This record gives sequence, C-alpha cells and structure tokens, in this order.
Amino acid sequence: MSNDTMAEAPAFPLPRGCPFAPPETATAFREAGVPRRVTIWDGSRPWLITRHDHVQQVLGPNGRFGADVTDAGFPNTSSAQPAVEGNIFFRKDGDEHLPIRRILNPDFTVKASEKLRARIADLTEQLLDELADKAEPVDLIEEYALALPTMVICEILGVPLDQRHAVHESAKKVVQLSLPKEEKLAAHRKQVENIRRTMADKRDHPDDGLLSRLVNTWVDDKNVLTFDEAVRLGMLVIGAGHETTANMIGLGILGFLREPAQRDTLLADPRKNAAPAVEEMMRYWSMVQTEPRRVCLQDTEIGGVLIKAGEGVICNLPAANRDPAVFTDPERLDITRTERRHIGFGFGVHQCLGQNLSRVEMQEAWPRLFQRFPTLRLAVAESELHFHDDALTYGLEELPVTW
Amino acid sequence: MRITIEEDKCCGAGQCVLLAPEVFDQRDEDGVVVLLDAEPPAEQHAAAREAAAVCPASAIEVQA
Repeated sequence: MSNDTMAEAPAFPLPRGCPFAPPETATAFREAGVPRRVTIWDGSRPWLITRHDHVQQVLGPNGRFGADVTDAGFPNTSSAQPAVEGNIFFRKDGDEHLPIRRILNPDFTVKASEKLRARIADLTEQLLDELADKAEPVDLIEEYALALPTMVICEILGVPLDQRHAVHESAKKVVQLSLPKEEKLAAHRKQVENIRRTMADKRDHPDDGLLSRLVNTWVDDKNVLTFDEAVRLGMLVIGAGHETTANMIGLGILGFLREPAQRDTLLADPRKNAAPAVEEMMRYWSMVQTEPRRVCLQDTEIGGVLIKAGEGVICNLPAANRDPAVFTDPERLDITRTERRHIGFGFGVHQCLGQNLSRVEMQEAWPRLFQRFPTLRLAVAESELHFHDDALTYGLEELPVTW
Repeated sequence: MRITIEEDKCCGAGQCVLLAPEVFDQRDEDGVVVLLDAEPPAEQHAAAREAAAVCPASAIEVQA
C-alpha cells in the first residue's frame, strides 16, 4: 500500500499520543465532521465514526447496521472472531438477539444491582482489609480493581470465589487482540470446558446463581436454550463482566489521583457524588476503544458520506464522548457534570448489559478506597504507567500505589 | 405530558429507571420497561424527557 493510501486510511487501532485523551487521529476525524476510512489487520478499510450524533445514528435502533460478526462485510477484530463469537447472541440482531438478552436482563436491572450493593460494599471492605495488611507498594489493578468485579461476577454466576483466578486468566486471553489465534482459541476452549463442567454440576446441585438458573430453568424446564447455548451465555457474562469493570475501576482511581479536587468532591458527599462520578469517568475514559463495530445493511448517508451496504464501520467512543457539540469543555474531568448523554456503555439495543451492576461496583469501590487510604498516591512516576492499547478495552497494566 | 412506551423495542438497559424512578420501572422477569406514570407531574417532566433522550432503544416517547 502506498504512503498516500495509508494517509487516507490510517492503521487501526490508532495510537494515542496522550494516555488521557482519545487518539489524535480520531479527534481530527471528529473535527473534520465526516466518517473517514481506517485500515484494519486484514487490509480492509472500514469507516471510523467519531462524532457523537453519528455514533448514535449507527448504533441506534434503525435496522441499517448489523452486529453479526460472521457477515462477510463485518470488520472483525481478528481472524478468530467469527469462530469464537459467531454464535453469541450479542453478535446477532433482531430475534436472535433481544429475546436472549432478556433472559439475562433480570440479573442486571437497576433493582437487581441495587440489591447487590450491600454485598458489594462488604466485598470491597474485605479487599481493603487485605490491602491494608500488604507491604507497599501495592498494585491496585491486581489486588483491587480486578479482584472486586471478579468476585462479584462469581457471586452472580454461582461460582465459588476460590475459582476466581482461573476465571480471570482464561477470560483475559480471549480478549487480548495481540495474542496469536491458536492461543486465543485454546484459552477459549478451556473456558468453555470449565463452564460446561460447572453447569452440569448445577443440575445436581441447583442454587440461586445465574448458571444454575440457565441450565435448570432455561434449558431443562423451559427448553428455550440448548445446553451449549447456556454455556455460551455463561461465557459471555464472564468475558464482558469483569475485565471491563476492572479497567474502569483502575482508570477512575488514576483520574482521582491526578485531580485531587475531584477526589475531594467525591468524598465530601459520596452518596450524592459517586453516581455522577461514574457517569463522568465513563465519559472521560471511554474505555471501549476498538469497538463497537457494525456492518452496513442498507446504503446510509452519515455526515454527507454515503456508507454502502456491505461496508464495515467502527465507532470510536473516546472521540464521541469528547464531542464539544454535546459536552461543555469536554477535555475536562468534572464529576459534577450534569450532561448525561455519554455513550461510554455504547448505544442502541446492544448497550452494555451489565452497566447497572458496574455502576454500583464503581460507586462503592472509589469512595471506600479513598476513605480508607486518605494519603493514597502513585508509587511510580505517572510517565511509567503502562496502558493496554492493544486490547478491546483501555486500561492500566498496573497501578502501583503507596499510602 | 403524555408518555408512551414500546415494550417490543426495550432492551432493558435501565437508563430510564436510573433517571426517573418514579416514572419508569423494569419487570423482574425480563428487565423490560414498566411505565409507572403515563402522565407524570411537572417536577418529573425534565427527568422523563431525559430518559426518553438517552433510551438506547428509542422505546420511550414523550409528547408535549
């Protein structure tokens, strides 16, 4: 490919010059106001959608863009994606998607998530007790940000907490973009086997957990799902349910450490300010960085550009969530912001299933951490922090702190 | 103000319940929106409008 063509369609994922801002190229595309092409791993050139209104147009419920990763025109994240995710409901549309989502919804409604708040607060305090006993510096990603959501997801599934490290290790490999296909598929197979075994065991030992209800209610009683489909739903909840929240807990902590005035506002009235803080951190960090992706199903004009049926599109949430057309002073982190239109959880009928649960986790994790360790600070220079740019979700490799 | 909902479209994200809990709820069995008050009092209007605007599935319509 010539340099000229590359300039027209830069390689995606796009690098970030500043870890606290969207990729410069995505911001420049947004300022240009029209979709522009990027080049992905297989040489194809999907459109990058960067304006807030354009992202809503693509992801909103208009039937013009499909989520099916097995569609020939879909801009896959890797060559393994169709095989690994091809038959998961959230990579489907319409009747193959919504009825299945509604099977999972009850565990993630606002009410269900609120019901778990006291338990989440307990788990948070337990982790803080353990942290307090450790020799500093401590890596908050491993010991806190990742530990909490993994424990919470195990509770929801009905998986013993002592299995949480195994749950995490295999899930991590499946989402790592840079991992070779063979390794990714092997990790995926191992995870499937674990869930199959656990779910089969729930037939003999039913409980209130999601895995038990999936197999006993939806497979055996109602015959709505096959056993394999139930296993895939369990996989999805694990895959989507812990690393995402972990990244956000970690990034949020860093946000508060960098801007102590925001931390002080949070702590001045956590009951009032934790909820808007979550919305603002979701906007500011926009952790989902290489998705959502869609394939165009009907010729559609976006920002004056004709997107043709069969072409791929990639929405860039980091750029869209800093769109000055929607947010005042968008580069500023401000947890008292009242604008609620961020699309950090995505948009459309595929919007994050676990959003309300993750909100409660962040709302409990941040204030409790800073209350317990009022002098919490980075144990390394900010410039030494490593962010994972190669993953579907943005986050910190490690967050070493002292207090 | 008159609110109507389209259950068929609802994906159960729950944004409306977060924003206007006195106007919207979710069914326990599938997370689908329940309209608690189709003609809410004036103090709920702003929240109800915001709920309609952020609904990811465009399942809420607010008139006047």
